[in-house]
Amino acid sequence: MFRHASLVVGGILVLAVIVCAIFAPQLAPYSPYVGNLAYRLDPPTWMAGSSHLHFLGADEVGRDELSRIIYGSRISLLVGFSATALACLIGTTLGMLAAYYGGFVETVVMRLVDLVLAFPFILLAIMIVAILGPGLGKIIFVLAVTQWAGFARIVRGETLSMKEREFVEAARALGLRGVRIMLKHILPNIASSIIVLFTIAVAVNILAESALSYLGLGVSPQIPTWGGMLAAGQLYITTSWWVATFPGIAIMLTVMGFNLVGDWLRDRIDPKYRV
Amino acid sequence: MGRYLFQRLIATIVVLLGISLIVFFVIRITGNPVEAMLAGTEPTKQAIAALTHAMGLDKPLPEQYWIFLSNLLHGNFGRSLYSGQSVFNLVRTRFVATAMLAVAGLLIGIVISVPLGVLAALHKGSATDVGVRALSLLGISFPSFWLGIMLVLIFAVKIHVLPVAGYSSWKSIILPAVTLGAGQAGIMTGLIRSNMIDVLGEQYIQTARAKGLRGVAVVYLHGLRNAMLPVVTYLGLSLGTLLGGVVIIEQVFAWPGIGQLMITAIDQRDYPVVQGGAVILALFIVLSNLAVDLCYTLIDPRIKISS
Repeated sequence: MFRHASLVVGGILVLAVIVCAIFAPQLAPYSPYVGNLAYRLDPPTWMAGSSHLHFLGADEVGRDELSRIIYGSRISLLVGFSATALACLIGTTLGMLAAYYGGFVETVVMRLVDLVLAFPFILLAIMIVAILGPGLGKIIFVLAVTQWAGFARIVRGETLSMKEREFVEAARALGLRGVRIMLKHILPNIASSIIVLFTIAVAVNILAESALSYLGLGVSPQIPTWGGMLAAGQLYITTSWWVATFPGIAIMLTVMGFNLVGDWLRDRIDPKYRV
Repeated sequence: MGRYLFQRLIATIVVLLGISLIVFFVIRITGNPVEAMLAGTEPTKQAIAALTHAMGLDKPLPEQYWIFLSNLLHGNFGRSLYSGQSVFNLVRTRFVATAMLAVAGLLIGIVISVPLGVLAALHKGSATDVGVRALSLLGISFPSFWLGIMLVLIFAVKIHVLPVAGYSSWKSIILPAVTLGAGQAGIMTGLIRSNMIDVLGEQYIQTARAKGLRGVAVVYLHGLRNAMLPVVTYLGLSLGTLLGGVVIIEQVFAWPGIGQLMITAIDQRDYPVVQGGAVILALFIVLSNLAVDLCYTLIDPRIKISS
């Protein structure tokens, strides 16, 4: 029962965030950029003293919280998906090459994997962003650089076991070359593991993006991000709890959605990766 | 075993060299660090050149890297450009705070996750199991800094029982450690649950039960010990992530650990601190991973380390 519930709940959460991101201009009641100082730190509608104009309240410059959260989904999803896609591309390529060719290639790739895993990635990310300056492209790049190792490890392991299977030997006996065997015969057979990892990695990257934005190393501060909203809200935590609370809930529900879908996929297509 | 150790040692050295190389070059990507350091003071060209020369930054990059490396090998991690203190001492004093937080967080994680994971495994499919899985999902889904802020809101702002931030008394560690522990518990509960389910189906558990051992003894003496192996693997491999988590939690609670030290140093372009700190952190992580590998044989005598 839990199994299907996780797909339904996770699916609804993920869909809701995607809809928010695509239709943000239609859904948001106010502009996420322009505030009205008359409504500075306006409480949510159900609280005493609220203007009843801002459902989740307003922030320190009177901007509507709900609208900013809706727009914030765009950066989260964009970074979550792009960084994961890039990490997946790098990791899958290197992992397959390492397992298929073995020897020197494998040693180099696996030492690189060790390197990435042996360092708190958030520090590396902070270092790169602090030095290169913030920006959407740089964040995606930084997260991909620090996340590809997970893909490489799983893909290498899966490829190693596929490599010995009869259908791969048959392909080789037919005279097919390495790249073709990897793309046409091995990749489709390990795709399920990659998809599971991809879903979970999107969740990880959304969390990582929010952490960078929280530290002030995200995209430009004008663009609403959940992590950035949280950091600003922390300053008003003693008087206006809602400013930091709701962006956190948005992050949590989104990450939970991807994790639930990932869990379901894993149980479904790949019982051996059950966590 | 000797051969295995030797291979691991070589791999460790390669990883450390790689990290020192990355850190060394990344911090120099934008050109002369001196200009970034003096930014805002409108320095003259002569002042920049003098400082650059004094710090040896006018030498070719490979030569600078070589000097950095040979200093490392002599145990010289350099000095902070701001305080003049030796990087090793700076990192060492901060390391205690970080290690305290990491250990306290891990302990809280273990105290929460072991009973929950075992309980869920024993009652697989029941309402308890669903509840535990939901909790564990919650644990991996919220951002740690958000939980930290919420805990501050409740325990420091609303009911005034714990300090908001800083490092003043034993009470200061409670909120950051719980924040870190809750996230760890989320991951470990799931791991323990699924390993325990596998282990409880093994024949040696049935044998233990058939011998007349009571439930608790079977679960904890025979089951848990075997189920903990993948958890130890996870802990070893995720040390980097754990320390990364600590870095962020240190920011939330103004905890004077390595994370704060590094973030301040990165901000100030205090590159000896960044370089030295990164290498020391990496050394610590790599050595811990090695220790975890060697621990396998202690926890599970069935594993023999060969090549």
